[in-house]
Amino acid sequence: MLLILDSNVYIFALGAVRDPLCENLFNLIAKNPERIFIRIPRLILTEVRHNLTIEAFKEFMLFLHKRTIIDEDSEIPFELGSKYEAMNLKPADALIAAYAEYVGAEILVSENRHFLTRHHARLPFKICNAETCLNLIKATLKK
Amino acid sequence: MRKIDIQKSLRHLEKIRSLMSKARSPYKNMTKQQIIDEIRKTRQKLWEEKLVTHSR
Repeated sequence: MLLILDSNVYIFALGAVRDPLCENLFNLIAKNPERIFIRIPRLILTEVRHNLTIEAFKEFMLFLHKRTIIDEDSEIPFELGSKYEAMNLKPADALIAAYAEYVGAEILVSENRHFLTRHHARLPFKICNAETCLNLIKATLKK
Repeated sequence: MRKIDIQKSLRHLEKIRSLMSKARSPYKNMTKQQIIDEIRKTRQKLWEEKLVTHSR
């Protein structure tokens, strides 16, 4: 299962002000590297960097190092970004949605209502918040 | 595929949280929604900076 976590999920999982559901989701991801995969684009990484101390960000990079690859935003096809902008997402949000499609993610996890209110049926991936994702993963891991 | 040491990964997360719990947060006393809105502002700012850089 490939997940894209929005920056707010990383920040609520690791930052100074945390949300237990985001924390639990991230812990579950950390404990199941053979079954749950994550990828991260440069934009989200930069947002996370803005919200961690230098030392904490270094630890975050060490965590990511063996776990995933960091994708450059420029790799994301422009046409895909335009497709999501046409769905009334702001350009930066459209880039994240385009990235999720580009890498073939199953779920884009975000606490951002601008994503959560999109018309899911038309998308090639699910969009859900940390709580729903946590429940989906737990159900998948039980199988 | 590289072998991932789960315990080591968890130690990284524990250390990040420990470091961040000592850090001063710009989000102190904000609601979850207010924090999300602030994170969105950062995204917008980064996006605008990226556009400026690429248009040069």
